[in-house]
Amino acid sequence: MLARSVARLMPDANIEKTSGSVLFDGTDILALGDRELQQHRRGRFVSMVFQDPLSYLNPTKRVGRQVAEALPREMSRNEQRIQVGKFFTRVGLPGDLVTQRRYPHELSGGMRQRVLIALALASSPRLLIADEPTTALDVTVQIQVLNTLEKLHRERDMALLVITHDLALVAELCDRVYVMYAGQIVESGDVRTLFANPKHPYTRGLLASIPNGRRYRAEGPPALVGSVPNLAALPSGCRFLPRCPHAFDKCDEMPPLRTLAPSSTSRCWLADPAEAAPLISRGAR
Amino acid sequence: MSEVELRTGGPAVEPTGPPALAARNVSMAYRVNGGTRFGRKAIRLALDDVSVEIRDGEIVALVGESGCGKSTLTKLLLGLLRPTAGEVTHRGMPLSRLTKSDHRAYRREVQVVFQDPAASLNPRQRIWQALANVLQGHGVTDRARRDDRVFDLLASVGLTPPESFANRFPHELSGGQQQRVSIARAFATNPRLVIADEPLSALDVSVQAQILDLMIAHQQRTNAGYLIVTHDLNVVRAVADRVVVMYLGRVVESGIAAEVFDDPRHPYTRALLASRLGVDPTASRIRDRPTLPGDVPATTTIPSGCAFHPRCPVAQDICATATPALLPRGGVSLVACHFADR
Repeated sequence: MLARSVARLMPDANIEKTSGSVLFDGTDILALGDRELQQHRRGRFVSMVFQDPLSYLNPTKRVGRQVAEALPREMSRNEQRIQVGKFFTRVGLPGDLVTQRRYPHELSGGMRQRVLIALALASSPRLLIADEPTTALDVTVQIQVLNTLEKLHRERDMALLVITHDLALVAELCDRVYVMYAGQIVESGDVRTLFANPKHPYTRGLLASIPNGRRYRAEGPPALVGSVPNLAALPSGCRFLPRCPHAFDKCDEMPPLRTLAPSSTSRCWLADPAEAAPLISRGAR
Repeated sequence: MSEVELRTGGPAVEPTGPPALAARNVSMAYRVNGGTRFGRKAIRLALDDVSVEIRDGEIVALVGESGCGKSTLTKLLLGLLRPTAGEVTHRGMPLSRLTKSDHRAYRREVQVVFQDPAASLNPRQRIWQALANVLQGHGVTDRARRDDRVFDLLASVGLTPPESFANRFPHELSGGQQQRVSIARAFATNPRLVIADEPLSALDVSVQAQILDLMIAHQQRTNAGYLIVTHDLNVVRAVADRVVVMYLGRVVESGIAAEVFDDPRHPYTRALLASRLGVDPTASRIRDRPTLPGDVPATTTIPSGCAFHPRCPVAQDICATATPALLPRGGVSLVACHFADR
């Protein structure tokens, strides 16, 4: 949802009573008119890769043509083929015409995802948004695709925004992370710091739910109780309150997203030393 | 948080007598459209000479990527499909030759939890009805006793208070709660063996651990056998006694989970273990990971010889021509690779 707003893919009619702005190099994308938006898109800034490549590729068009559509219109067919071939090799697909002339259904899941990445790259974006890019793929193929994304990011100095529920993927691929819960950012920070010392109880619970190593805990409390709240009936105060093991009186009030260090924030009263100290004497609720 | 004893592998009871459930050299071929032109049908070999057994009290994990035959094998073990060759036995008796009362015992003792809880519950049936039907089918006809049992079951899977859940429809529950109902339904007959086909993959990360806790607690309480089909190697590592690794319809490696994880012999098992992402950003980063070339081929075009040879980093000429047999290597591990000893 957030990612779609950034790429401005949300239909305007769906956005009611929203506030705030999306800045790209200082331009507020949400405030752009249709024509300016067109220019912004053609200006090759943001591209997006989705979870299920089959539903984002046209089933009746050859994959090479689909990638070519993102290339400048002035280019001749022949030049386009050469360019598409280059993009294909860059994402680890055979760049030959045989592959370019295939239809989406003739490719495997991993290859389709690579086509989608090639398509996203064809407009030379400076930011690539990848929404669950490997969730639909097998584990050995997942590694290949992630490797490709990482290499592209490094070689082309392209920013990468990965949306995922897989914390291991975050740990292995990313530099910084934002943790969201029920429509809000609850914690953010540099990956190393956050994984070593998670501040928000939700982040801690998430990390504890991953079976790690060989020990299995058959007794004792589960890592996180309950499940994600209905967005139409959010609890008042902190949205994590009903599931939080450390909830106390103050949590009936929405905690602010507090800056703890230059790149680290947390939306929890306990991250505030003034609130956490008296709690020890009072005891948790 | 109490860390209980380390699961080191091996069933809690010494294996005596016939295994609770076993597949003996089963093969399964499907005829599918579209393999060849002009309407001829292609044969899709989903399983090729596979043997698996599950004994009382042990947790067996079945691991593999899409198209490896995990789901087909599950269906064979549940008696939902008949194998093209080989047989499935329950306590030593082939399913095809079970008497009526034996078959009822098999149905009672072997239960299943599917991947998608929403699809495995009847959307027009209230929760208590779903559970009561199972109980009635297995002879609990007294209404008062049945209702008590339904409430007990709901409470035992953490749906408390049970009164507030019993009268709801599946769509009124979250995914995790629906999966709890499926599990309660499986527990209703006091099963000796639970087959769980990807029980966690449709759930949120924070709910996965809860559901796994629930099943493992049941396993330890009742000493039932468990077959967990999964692609999540972290889960396998955490709970399984034995592990069976499949690739394109064949078992490529099987053995005590701890041994297979510490010393994988098949190159495919090694690749799978190497694709397991860790949660320590200081320990490993994606750019340093070796990758296997290529994708898992479709089961209509299984490569000759060892099916893994086109992607294998150690493949030699022999791998393209001769299919390696599943042979013992070292301890109890079985490995199907010409070069397992290297």
